[in-house]
Amino acid sequence: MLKNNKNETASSKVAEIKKKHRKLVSTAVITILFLVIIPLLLVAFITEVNRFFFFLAWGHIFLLFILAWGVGIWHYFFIRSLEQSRDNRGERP
Amino acid sequence: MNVTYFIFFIVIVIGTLVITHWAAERSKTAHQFYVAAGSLSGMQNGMAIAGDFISAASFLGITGLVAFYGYDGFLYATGFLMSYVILSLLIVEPIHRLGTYSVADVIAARFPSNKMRAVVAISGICISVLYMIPQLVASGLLIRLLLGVDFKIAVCVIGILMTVYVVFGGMLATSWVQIIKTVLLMGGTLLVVFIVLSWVEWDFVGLMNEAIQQSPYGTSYFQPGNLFKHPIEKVSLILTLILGTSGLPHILLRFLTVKNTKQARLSAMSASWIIGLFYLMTLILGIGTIALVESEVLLQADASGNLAALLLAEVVGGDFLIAFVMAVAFATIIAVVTGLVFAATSSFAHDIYFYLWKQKRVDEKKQLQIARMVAGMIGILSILISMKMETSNVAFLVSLTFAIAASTLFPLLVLTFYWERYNAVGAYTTIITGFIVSLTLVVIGSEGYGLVQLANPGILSIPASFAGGVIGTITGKKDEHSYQHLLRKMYSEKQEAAPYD
Repeated sequence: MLKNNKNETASSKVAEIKKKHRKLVSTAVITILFLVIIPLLLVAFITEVNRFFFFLAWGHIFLLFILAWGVGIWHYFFIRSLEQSRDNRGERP
Repeated sequence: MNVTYFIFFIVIVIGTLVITHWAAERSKTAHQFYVAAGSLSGMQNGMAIAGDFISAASFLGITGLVAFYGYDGFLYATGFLMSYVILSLLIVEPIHRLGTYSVADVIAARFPSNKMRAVVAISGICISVLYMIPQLVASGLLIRLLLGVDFKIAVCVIGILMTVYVVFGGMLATSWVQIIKTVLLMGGTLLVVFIVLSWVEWDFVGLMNEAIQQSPYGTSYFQPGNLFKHPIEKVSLILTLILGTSGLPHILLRFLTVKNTKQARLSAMSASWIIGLFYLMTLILGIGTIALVESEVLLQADASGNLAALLLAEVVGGDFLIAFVMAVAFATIIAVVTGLVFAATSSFAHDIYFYLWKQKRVDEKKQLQIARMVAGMIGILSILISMKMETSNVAFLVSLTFAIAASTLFPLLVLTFYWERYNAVGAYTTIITGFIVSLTLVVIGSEGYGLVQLANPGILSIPASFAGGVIGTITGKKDEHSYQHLLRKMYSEKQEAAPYD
């Protein structure tokens, strides 16, 4: 019985780690796609004559700064909340 | 030689040597030498990472690129900044949890064979040396341009300084040289930005209009397409920049110098803030340069645009400000090359000598002695190679380094940390495929022989290395336990670094 409980805890821990990894990898992939695809779409669908082109191009570049800093802050607090919930359950880090 | 310039250089050299002397007293054990005994706080390490990462190419080069190409020059900078998102999300925590003194330790945590350690260590040494040579060559050229000193003497002075910092001060001296460089760089850049803005009476729109009038691109100056003519080239460069940083050993090693994962994450986050703020300032410097320094003057001084910041300083501040900006550039150079020597040293002394050659049968004193000897040898070797490469294409070597880092160590680390099915065969094929494809494409690309019109091979070499890893894994023997073992090591066994003594 004790052994079963131990196995269940271990497998739930592994599942939690895998979930965390999936979230991190998918955020990284979305970030890369945003960085790469938006400039391509901008050039493909909007001509430089378009009056919004200037604002969209610079909006994208400044959004990247906000994204870089924002994702950094999100990641910091995301991992901290995971660690806190693990500590609350009394598991060793 | 200008006396003001010389005084600034001497102040930097004396300051950094005092730090080295202080650090030498505190680098008595291997743990202290390799990772500063985990004594840095997250913020300090973030500043050191920024100091390690922002090279003279960034400080002087990005300002020049913005001055010449406007929007596209600034887009180049965002690639460097965004690399910290990928680094924070995927790499920082596992590196800190699994690494001891080198990147090979991290991979060996999942694939613990000497052969694997050797392959990773050699890749790390290749990347560090490949990156160090263009940095040294560029610094020699820059010092010659600025001070009129002979190229070989300039390379020798910088090479000797970087070697002294590493040999005597270890990671602690390296870190504090980088921290002080960051303070100087941020302070100096902010000062020039304020002077430029007050020069135009805080009329930034007026400055932009002046830039449009002065630039040969006219109204297109603030539009995309001045530097990157082909979208594939743009995507390839951005991919190489954002993924390459996560494969640079001198950056990865910095996450071993803090005591816990929280501080490691804080390091990456604070580094991204510092680097981002720095690039925002280079935008103003670049626009200011094209507006206040005539584009023909800029072209005549240096066609690559590396003197843009100095010419701007000359216009708005005179001799004293140029001397200050030069001192910042000098501190920038030595901080980066010191980090690179250190990365190559730890790979060679810790992985090759301690693990492979001596099979861990070496006492602490001998380990430290060998690490110092290796640092000295790598320093001398780099100086000698750089002296012979005065006419080499610096941009070619830098793009080669980033391409190899993004196509070898980055995919290897990501697949090791996040793919359960991954095995040792896949790890070898990842590195080999990435290395061969990136090297071949750079050599035959537009920066090399020009057989293929692609300057940055990342768009092909990075997917190729991932594909190589997948094919190798599928053909290799299934290994069900290595990932569970890795997760256990990552989330259960990491010991906090010993407190600094």
